[in-house]
Amino acid sequence: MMPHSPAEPGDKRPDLGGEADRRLDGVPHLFIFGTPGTVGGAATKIRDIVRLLKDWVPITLVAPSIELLKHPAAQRFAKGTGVRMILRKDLPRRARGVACVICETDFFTSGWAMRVREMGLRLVFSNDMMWEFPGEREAARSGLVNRVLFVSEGQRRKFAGIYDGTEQVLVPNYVEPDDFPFRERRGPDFVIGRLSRPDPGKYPADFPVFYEELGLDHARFRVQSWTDELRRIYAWHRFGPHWELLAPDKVPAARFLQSLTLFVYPLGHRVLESWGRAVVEAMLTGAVPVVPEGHQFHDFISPGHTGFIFSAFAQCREAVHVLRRDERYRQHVAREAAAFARDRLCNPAVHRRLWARALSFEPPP
Amino acid sequence: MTSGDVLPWSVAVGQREREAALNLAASIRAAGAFATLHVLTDATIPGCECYDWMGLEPDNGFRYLAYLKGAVSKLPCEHLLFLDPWHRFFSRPAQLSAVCALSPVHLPLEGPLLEHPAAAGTYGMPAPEASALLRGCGLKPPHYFARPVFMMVRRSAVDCVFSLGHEFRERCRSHGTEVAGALALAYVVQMLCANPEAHRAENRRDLWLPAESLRPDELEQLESGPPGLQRAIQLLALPSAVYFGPRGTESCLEAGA
Repeated sequence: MMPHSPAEPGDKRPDLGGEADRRLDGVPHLFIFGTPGTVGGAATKIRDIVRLLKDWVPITLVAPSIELLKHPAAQRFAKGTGVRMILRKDLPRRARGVACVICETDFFTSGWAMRVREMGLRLVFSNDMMWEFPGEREAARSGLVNRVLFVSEGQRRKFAGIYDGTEQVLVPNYVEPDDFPFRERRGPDFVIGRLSRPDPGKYPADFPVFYEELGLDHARFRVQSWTDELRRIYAWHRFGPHWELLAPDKVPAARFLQSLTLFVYPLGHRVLESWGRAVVEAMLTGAVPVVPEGHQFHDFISPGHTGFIFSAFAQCREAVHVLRRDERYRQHVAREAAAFARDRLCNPAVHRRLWARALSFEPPP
Repeated sequence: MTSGDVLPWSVAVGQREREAALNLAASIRAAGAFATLHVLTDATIPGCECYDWMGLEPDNGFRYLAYLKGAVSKLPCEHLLFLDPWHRFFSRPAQLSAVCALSPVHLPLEGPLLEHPAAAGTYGMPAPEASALLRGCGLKPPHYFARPVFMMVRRSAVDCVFSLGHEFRERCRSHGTEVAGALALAYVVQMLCANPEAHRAENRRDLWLPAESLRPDELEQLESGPPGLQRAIQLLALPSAVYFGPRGTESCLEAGA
């Protein structure tokens, strides 16, 4: 039996603009492969896309395992949005529509790429990382992937050799702005911190030294997504009382980011960010981003206006000290960053049009 | 902090290096710098705490990482200070363990890598090539030259130093380049220090310098005269430890050792 989302497209939905409306009307059903959650770029991306599109196209979420299907955060989300969640094995034999696969590492080796095509679905793949998944190259070469989505030009370049024969669409990430309300930072409390998925690769080898060498008196450091593995890796460092190391999901992301004055985000030497959801989330809340060059942050940070991009430690320290000394300037940058994130990066109408383009196909002849 | 938190160790294999270690140990005692010099060696050296060198091959300088992780880290001390035997101590070092600053490891950074005349000899390749390898393995410029002859490691960071050094070696190998342990250690210290300025040799002139960085009159002051108040005052402005380098032979940590 064909699964249906309770949230079918209705008459009351806002107008997207004629062409985008027509395009989404042409998508009979959207199966999103992946699990919504509150930690990590892919899980949060799925949350935001579902909420962005659910009133325009019927959606079913397809989880890869019973553990993820039953995860309380996923269940709460499904209940709250009214979107149905099923396991891959519960998919119908035949269906019309699009399978949008978001950052599912086992998708090509599990045989589901072929099965999805055999069901009659178009396969749209969004890797979201800067490395290829097992079987991805072979699937692309054999024509299993109808369309590939990239979140940035940098990511597109990285995968150019794999997807040269596949239709490509650039769809930058969307973050639901209302989830990350702006808060003006006032007063002497100066907090530096970061949030990411609990992946040790996201942290530079010298992480705690990096914050401490900034040389800020009476600053506090807050980090969320700290795990036992990170504790072992940085066991050589003595974390003083000015450090607060929080477990993943300990505090809701928005509340955590609102507590930071600056989002200082040095990254591990093996990591290349494809976009940077956490940075945009921080900007929305009014935490000024101070991020390293060599990633995709220049897509949304204008140095000195909506944040800072540093090429070396000395530049980072200088930026941080300027922001510490000049509260009015810092507040100005924070407001500019938040406004840019809300109006330009996370504009829902713009993103619906992008997704309409990403998910619609000409009907088969 | 005093030098009591710091355990000095060295490697001396063969008669020339043993003689160098003997002289180093004598200068350490004369300066009152440390109680004992611990040496991995192939024959007993009077006045040193000696350990079997286990016959490890030089492995392009990487055997020192193996000694650090496999042997020296078992000794009970918070900071482990590797001293190439071709050092001499002239006074007791002050605030020695503070030399790590906030980092878990310290090597004196001697200036821009691309401009240092000793870089090619130490790393066994032209400085631009060394710099390209550092960059390719994630170390952002500016890159500094560091000769790994005076290296302090916090004991709790030994595993981290070892793995980062070998990760660098393997990544370079995967691109067809065999690197010297000296370059790997320069990589490690710069990856772990965040702020290279805190590790510039010039910032701790009172602690360590290579002999070629001293003026002839400064060297003369270090070498001259019996201990006394006046000499002690003169020494305040000069380094406690001076690296003279191997005379007529390759340093144990340099490329190809």
